Amino acid sequence: MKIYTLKAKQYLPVSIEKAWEFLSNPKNLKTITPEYMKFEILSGADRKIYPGQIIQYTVTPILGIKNKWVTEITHIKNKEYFVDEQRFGPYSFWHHKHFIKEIPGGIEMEDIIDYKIPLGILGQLIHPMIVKPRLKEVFEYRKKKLIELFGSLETKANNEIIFV
Amino acid sequence: MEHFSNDFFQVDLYDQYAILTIHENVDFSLNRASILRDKLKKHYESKGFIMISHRKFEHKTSPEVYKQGVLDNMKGLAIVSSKTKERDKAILEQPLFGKSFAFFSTLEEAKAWAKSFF
Repeated sequence: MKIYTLKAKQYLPVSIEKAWEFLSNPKNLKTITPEYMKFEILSGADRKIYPGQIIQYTVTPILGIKNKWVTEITHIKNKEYFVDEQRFGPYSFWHHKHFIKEIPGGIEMEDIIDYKIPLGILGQLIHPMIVKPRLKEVFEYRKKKLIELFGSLETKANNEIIFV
Repeated sequence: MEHFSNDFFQVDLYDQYAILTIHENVDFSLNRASILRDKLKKHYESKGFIMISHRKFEHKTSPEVYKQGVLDNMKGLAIVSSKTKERDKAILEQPLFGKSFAFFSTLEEAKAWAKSFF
């Protein structure tokens, strides 16, 4: 059983309050997701984030195949982190931790996603060809959109997207 | 606070940040920017500061200003404007600058950001 991990860091010139307000609002996911993925929230995003929140949406990530995703917000610590976990969707397992912390001039935003793809050995074969590049593309797009929205923060550490 | 103005711009130099307003329709070339650069150098010496560009008026900034005219101790640039057009222009300028770069619709937000560096 192979569990993959994606880690991404980005530095933004915004206050922790502004970052939390934007990043923890599911309605903003559409803004930072590539248009070709046709991200649509079906339900569950009409309140502020809370543990146990179920969000349903559709997304078309690969080969024009529309997928329904259901995620649950499982953990929240105000202005520090929240976790979403897939309850139903294209992955066998999806556990996404969103961390933010205050640094001089803004915030450090860190995402850690542990995920597993279905189809056993076949899934592992298609991972480097389809899933990994597409996830990287989604995070690169998000990085660009966040720079357009808020600007960028120069730090000694780099903005990075790595797969483990 | 030290204040300087000429036919092209005015600048207010505070401890942690400078507020720059370029006058209407000015083409802010490298030569014009060098006047500002000298003022900044003299005021801040090697001390870090943030530049707040208060875009009250439309003007052009030459790409050379970003490429050659930026001081090492200028830690970041805040663009202040409530106009979408100015924001779009700033997004295009951002890669030329290569340091911390942020957009704000009010001067107060930009000042708070500048202070958060120190």
